[in-house]
Amino acid sequence: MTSDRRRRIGPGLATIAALVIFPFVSPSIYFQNVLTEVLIFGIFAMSLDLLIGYTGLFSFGHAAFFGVAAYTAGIVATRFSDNMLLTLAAGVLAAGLLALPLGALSIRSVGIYFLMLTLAFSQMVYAAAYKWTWLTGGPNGLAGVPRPVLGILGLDLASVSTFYYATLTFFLASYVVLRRIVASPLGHSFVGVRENESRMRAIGYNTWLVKLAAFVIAGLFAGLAGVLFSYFNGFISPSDVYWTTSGLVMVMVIIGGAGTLLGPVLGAGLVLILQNIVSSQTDRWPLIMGATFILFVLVARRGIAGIFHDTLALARRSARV
Amino acid sequence: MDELLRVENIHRRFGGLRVLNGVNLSVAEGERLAIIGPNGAGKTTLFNIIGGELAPGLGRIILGGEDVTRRPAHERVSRGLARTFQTNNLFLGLSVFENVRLAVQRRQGAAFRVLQPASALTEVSSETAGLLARLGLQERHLALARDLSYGEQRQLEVALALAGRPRLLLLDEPTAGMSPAETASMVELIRSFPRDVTLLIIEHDMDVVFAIADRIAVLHYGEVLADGRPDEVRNDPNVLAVYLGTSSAFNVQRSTLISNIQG
Repeated sequence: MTSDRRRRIGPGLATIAALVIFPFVSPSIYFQNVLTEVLIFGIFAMSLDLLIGYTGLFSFGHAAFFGVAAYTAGIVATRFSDNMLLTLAAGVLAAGLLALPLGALSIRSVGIYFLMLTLAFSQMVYAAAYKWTWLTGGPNGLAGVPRPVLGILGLDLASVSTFYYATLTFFLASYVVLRRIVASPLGHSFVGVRENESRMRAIGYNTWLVKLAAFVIAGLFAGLAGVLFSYFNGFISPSDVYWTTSGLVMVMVIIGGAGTLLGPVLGAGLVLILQNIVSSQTDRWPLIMGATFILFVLVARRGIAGIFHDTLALARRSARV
Repeated sequence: MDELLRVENIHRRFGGLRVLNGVNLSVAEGERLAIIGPNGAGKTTLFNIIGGELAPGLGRIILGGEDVTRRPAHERVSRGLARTFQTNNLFLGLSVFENVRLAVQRRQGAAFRVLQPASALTEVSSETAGLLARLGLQERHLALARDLSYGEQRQLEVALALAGRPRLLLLDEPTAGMSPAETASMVELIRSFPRDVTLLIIEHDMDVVFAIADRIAVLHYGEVLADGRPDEVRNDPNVLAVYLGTSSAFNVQRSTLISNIQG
């Protein structure tokens, strides 16, 4: 039992240790920034995985919550106060408050209709960001979002490595909370809806409420990612709410392996690192990205997490022989 | 005895096809009523309307004195209804234990808890284990539902319904497709249910019907053709005329009837 537990926790601790010492090993600001972005999109992808991988809800509008939180945090930071707790709370709250009605309206539909509704709602959010110029900066975007001030600890988040550590902390906390949620009775209810929604109703579940809970929790964590992104980028543009952003995070979830939480984080890593490498060499980044996605869908449907899982199982089997 | 379920003048059509045409039934608490009838008589449609999966075109469903006609399926479950399906309707990708656990956590009111892991709910786990033992599925608790034999899947189907601790249990052809041995153990299981669980059972196997039912209703073209004690229904001339030629149990009845008439 203890050795089993150690075997499960060991690689996790090693990964955390590697992430913590990374800025010392690689003092390159560029790589620290890339990894920071991976962690932010990792939170975003995990939140969508709660919908796609656990609840079976293929939302194609998840950027709405990411974007609304980013704009809200950015507006609060540029107009009122750059206090971290304030911008964070405002952004995450805005995402949750948006997820409640959008979720309530979308989850009555299933399958392709659900997908189209979430897409339509998120494009309405995009249109608002694009047109509401006095508030959002319109097509020019919202520039000059400051790195937040964490007064109590006296931390200067303007420094690349400090911001990296702050993001890492938020990422680990999100992972732990999401992991606990999927292991909870509610998380099992999500999976039940994914497996057989009509049977869930027949054993007494209000599946509408189960799906709404998943939708709002996913929206809150997408909001957290959006707030961190607004600090990180210092600039928010309508394209962060556009359907391509929803598509990008969906690709991360599918390439990484839906229903595993950590898989989508690896998916975010692969997509963003590939993007950074490829786009520095050629303009044909979307082509490479598309080919990668097709490759995964064709030969590795369970994503990176699936490849890891199969390799581990193979290694264990050959070790026994 | 108190009335637990009243089906009042239920009509339902699918396009131009009138499937149910004014069905009336009253089921007392603790009663075991079998609904029989040829294929297409509307039996499963009636179950879907009682269970809340389908809305009737006309008529009312009264459960425990309350009109639940407009209530969704899950609210009827919380009022004591549970059902099994004619074709297995399980969580195929989940383990046997997890299938039943989902039903148990809902009944114990824990479905929305998020602050503790599901594995920490010892009452849910022990009730689940108890149900699996009662159904003879404890050896298979780690198997995925899709890897069970057909007969085991039928048992799991019943376990999911029992996990809701129903007052009214609807069983839609519980022995369909089972081997004689599996059928016998299913009949044994159903007979072992506490007497206060009211049963509504759709069944084609007349041996099963006579082993379980205190009362039989015959559905024919969306109407109740006969409704009474097994021996009454067995000898009802209308029933004999339209339906019972198909079953061996009734063939004997019919031939004796015919010989009585002729004699």
